[in-house]
Amino acid sequence: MSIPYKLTKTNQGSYLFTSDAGLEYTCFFIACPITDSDGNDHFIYSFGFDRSGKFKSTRFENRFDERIKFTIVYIIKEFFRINGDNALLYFCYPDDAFARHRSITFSRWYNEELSDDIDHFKKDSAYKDEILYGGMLILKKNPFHKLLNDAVDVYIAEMNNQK
Amino acid sequence: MLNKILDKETQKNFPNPIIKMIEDKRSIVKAIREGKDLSKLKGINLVNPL
Repeated sequence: MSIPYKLTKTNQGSYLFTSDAGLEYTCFFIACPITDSDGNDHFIYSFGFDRSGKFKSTRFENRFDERIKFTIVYIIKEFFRINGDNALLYFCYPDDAFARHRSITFSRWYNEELSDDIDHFKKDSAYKDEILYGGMLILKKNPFHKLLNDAVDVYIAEMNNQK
Repeated sequence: MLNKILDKETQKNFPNPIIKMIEDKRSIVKAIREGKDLSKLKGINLVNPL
């Protein structure tokens, strides 16, 4: 198994890693309070990562780097090791032609590396006339599993219904 | 604790936390690509849960 890249925590609230190809990636988390239908307050987190600096997405430009996959898998496992009561959302942005590809790739990573302990719920949605591919990860043993999933679904349904 | 993550004004402007996350993420990715300091983004609370 490939080893993850070394993560560096920055003073800007993000994490960096540099690939063997010399490309730097920035990883980040944001958090929002959310209330479930039983009145329990939770935090849900959103995780994202992006290549640092300007670039143009071109198909097959870069060789597939398995260490990036294992770095993201490591981040997610660490997140749930420390924050087992929380849920983690992600969104693949449609700012190029590859959002669906990223979503499919992440689903494959989940099936290969994360599915033993973590559930993955697809949360594709519509926002500002665009399709957002996304999902939610949550520990299978989380006692608020259903309540959190339902609470997120309510907000996504509300978003989908916005004109 | 909730108010430390999102102040009341922000919660009022974004009653739907999913939309807040989507908009925040869009701003963060734009800043990453432009090489801007993420800590200077207004109204966005990056957190370090690791």
